[in-house]
Amino acid sequence: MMAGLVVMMAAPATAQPTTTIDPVARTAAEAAITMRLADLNARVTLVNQTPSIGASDRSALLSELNSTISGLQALNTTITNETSVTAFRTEAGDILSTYRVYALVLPQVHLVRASDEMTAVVIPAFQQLETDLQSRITAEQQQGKNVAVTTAAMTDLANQITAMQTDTSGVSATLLGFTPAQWNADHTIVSGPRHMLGSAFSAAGQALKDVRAVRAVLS
Amino acid sequence: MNARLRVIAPAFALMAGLSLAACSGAKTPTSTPTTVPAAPTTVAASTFNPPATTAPSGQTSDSALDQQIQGVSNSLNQVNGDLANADKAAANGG
Repeated sequence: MMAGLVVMMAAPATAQPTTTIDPVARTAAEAAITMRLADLNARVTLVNQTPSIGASDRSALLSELNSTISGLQALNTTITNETSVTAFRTEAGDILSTYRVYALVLPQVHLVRASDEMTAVVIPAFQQLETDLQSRITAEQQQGKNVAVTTAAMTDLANQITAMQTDTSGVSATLLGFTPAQWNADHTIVSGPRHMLGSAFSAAGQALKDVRAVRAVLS
Repeated sequence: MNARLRVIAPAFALMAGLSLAACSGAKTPTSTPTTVPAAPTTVAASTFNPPATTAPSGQTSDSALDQQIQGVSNSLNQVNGDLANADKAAANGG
């Protein structure tokens, strides 16, 4: 699909000026929009069905998704009715440059969803586990059981929770602030938040190992 | 006391009570019950607390800990899926 869009947007230097829009190019542009609309609508459902997404983030995501959907629907109508070859080429290019559905919008949705799941569910769950495991350790210690083997894992668990908090702090807000124009100017803008969430996920994986190690010691 | 004993014990107690009353010459009740209350056929669910997973008083039980761990594991699977989907969309470009 990307190749089709590129071909119809770039006129060969030696080509004769055309006066009519290639119907294949028009169909390709319309199909590109249809595919994006389907993926965007699926994300609207996903956002609405994800309870861990915070209210303000949900509102921002839905606003972005719905404005992108309405913009592409209008563009689709324009492209379908376009008679100017020059205008058509510009409009076909707008499918990519104005909306950046795959490069930016869908990653924003999934990364904000991941970030909010971490901050609203995963981190509080680890904090609760930390409290509950420590309580069990103390109780078993008072009963004479040697629980020294849990010390290192509990210390690391606390460190991993701190790392998760640091790595997810402000990530959703940063992601939601990005626009297609910013992406057009800098294709790497999503990389920073993506890297932070990857680090948070790694910390969570290590925290889960710590929890399981302590749990195995408790009877 | 196991579940079966819990079920039949009241019936034995009732029968024993009646026998003792008869042997001791106790005055016959003016309104003798004509039916013996039916023994319960089920035992309340609360009597089936699994003792093996019950932690010391006030502590989170083993089963509760395991549920918490499973819950956070499920959440991490969702996070992992979202990271992968973000990467997949970005790789598609446009």
